[in-house]
Amino acid sequence: MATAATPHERADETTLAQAFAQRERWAFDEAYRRFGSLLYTVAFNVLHSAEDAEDCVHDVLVRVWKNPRTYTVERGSVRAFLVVCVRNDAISRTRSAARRERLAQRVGRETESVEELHIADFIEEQRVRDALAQLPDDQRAAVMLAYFGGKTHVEIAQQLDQPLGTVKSRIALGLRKLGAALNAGSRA
Amino acid sequence: MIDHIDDLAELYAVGSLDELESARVERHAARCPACAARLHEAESTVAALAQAQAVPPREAPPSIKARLDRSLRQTAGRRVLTWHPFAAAVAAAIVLALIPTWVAVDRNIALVAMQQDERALARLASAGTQINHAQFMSPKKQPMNAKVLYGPHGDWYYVVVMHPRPNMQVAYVHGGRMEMLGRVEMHGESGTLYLPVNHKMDELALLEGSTVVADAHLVY
Repeated sequence: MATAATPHERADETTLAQAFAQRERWAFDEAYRRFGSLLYTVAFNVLHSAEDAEDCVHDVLVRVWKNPRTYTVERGSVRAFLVVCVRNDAISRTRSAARRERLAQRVGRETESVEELHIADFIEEQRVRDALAQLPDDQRAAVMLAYFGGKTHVEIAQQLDQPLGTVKSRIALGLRKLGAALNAGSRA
Repeated sequence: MIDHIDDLAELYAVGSLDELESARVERHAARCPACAARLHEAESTVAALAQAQAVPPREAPPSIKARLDRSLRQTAGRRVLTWHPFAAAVAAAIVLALIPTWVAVDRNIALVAMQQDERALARLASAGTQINHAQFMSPKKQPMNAKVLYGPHGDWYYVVVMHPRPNMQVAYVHGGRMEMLGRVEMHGESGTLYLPVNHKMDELALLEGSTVVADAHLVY
């Protein structure tokens, strides 16, 4: 027999965001109930280790909750905010030299060039693949090296042999265009 | 403080900033609604990418929620001092008492230094027992009269140097590079630097001018 949803489970995204910003404990539990598996998967996709992914999700959520100024309602959805917090923390873990070495052993190799990054290898959703494919080549390369390659803009500039400012602009513009394409697709 | 984060919003969201730059963006967005809104747009796009990459999602192991509940209970149960200027001496004494291995540092000098830095002291006092510390060592592996206290989640750092030389600076060492975090502020016979940086740093260097005179390795 199905159990009726609790009021917290029925809370809309705005209500959840306001309660999360005010650090109401139910909002933390509800956010974890809704997004916990997504956050864990996001961490795992970067770290390729169940143990490291668990540590990452735990540490990030505790840090966010202990620092009330970290999240404000202007930041928008709790889901997007937490996904980026977890991803960035996971990426920073891979950037430490020792972890990078262990990760390389686990996945067999490190991503070295944009040619090795095939959209279809990473993205299951057709609308996202289409939106990525619409980007100009230089912007798509910069976004993919940043997002999938886990590289800093400084490393990308070195790899592409382009000025730092150019690479920063390409990533920023590419991501904004991607966002616009995804929004247009969801309204269509 | 940076003026506005502009393109750094997208670079932050996609994960291409280093930890220090990310911390600066987070601090600015916490105070600037316009930049927080721009960050939201960028984060939504990255979340869509991450969601599409997470098909099918892995089920989070139940051990994460159990650990979170334990950690949050400890946070809720911790004694938090409401900050007031005249609580400085009491808070400093609490902090020093929590660090039994505060060797090579004159406790009275440290106390005077900490009383000059109310923001750091308030943070330390509210940290309860959750304080890590690391010793700065010279290149010849000799302990220096300097320590760093830091939060177990890397959300704050407090460097205390006894008898500092002029122009001492603290830097974050990572990826073969050094990023200057700030100058040590002089308080009589000691110097301090409080860093409310919200990310984990595992190596700090102490510099005189541009020369590294000591480093500290931080564990979490």
